[in-house]
Amino acid sequence: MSFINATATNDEILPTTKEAIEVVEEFGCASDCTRSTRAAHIMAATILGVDANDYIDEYLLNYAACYYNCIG
Amino acid sequence: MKKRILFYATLVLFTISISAQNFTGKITYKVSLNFTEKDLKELELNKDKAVNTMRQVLSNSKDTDVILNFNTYQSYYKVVNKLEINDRKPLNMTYAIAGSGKVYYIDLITKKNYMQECDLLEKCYLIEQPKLEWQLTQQTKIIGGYVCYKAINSNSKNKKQKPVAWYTPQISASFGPKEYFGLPGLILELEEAAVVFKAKEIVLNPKENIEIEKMLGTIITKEEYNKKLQKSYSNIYTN
Repeated sequence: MSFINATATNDEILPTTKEAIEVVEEFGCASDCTRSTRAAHIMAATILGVDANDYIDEYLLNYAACYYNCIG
Repeated sequence: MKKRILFYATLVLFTISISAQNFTGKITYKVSLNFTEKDLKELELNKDKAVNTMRQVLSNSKDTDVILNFNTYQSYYKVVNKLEINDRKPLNMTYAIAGSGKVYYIDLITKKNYMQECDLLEKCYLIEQPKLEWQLTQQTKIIGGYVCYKAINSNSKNKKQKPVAWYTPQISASFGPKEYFGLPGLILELEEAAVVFKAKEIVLNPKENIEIEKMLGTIITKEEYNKKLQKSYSNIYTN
């Protein structure tokens, strides 16, 4: 079998709908939690007058809590 | 006669030296958030979007106890009760700023000032802390019966407020909370932009032996450590 004359298509073929939804959901949680946690962390640090980078350990834990809540 | 004076002088110096080596102490500070309901109301007046975030900070940032063990030359600082992951609440800024899982170590002889961090990267690191410059003042106040003098950390990069320490020359231990040290007496109160440390219990020369635990880890500058963090958690920095 040769692929030389094969034509490209933009249609994405997904193995199963269920798996695809799970993958999308996971990425959504990751980026949503990153954005929301980072925004809250930076805002709190700014108002309190501290450098947010000094408390990145707390930020990571808050992010992890958000992520695990999100993916349920 | 001269020999006798020299002998007594040597004896006195030797005695002072021995007692200085044996000088130990333990101080517990209460750490409180330097942000109140009044500050929250001011934010509300400005209709700032930050109100919800700061309401959560106020709700979750309960007072935290921290402990400083010291002898004449070394000190060891940590939060009394390290919170487990399940016990942590989001935006608990008091706990975070008090040190959370970090440990601070100061050695006056080698002039080392480290913060040990073991939770974030593949191994423990001893992160070098910035050198402190103090502006001493004659302003005084009494804390727990001790006369304390005010000193300002003049080279702090904090834009909101430079840290203010109240130290007592009556306790000749040149230490304080976290990375703060180098004053001619023990710091009994420290006000940072975000939190205040207040001494709540001081024990000098206790019967129990005060051990200054030896710190293990790779020595690294703060800048290098931050680079490693950014590399390891690049998705968080870039998302």
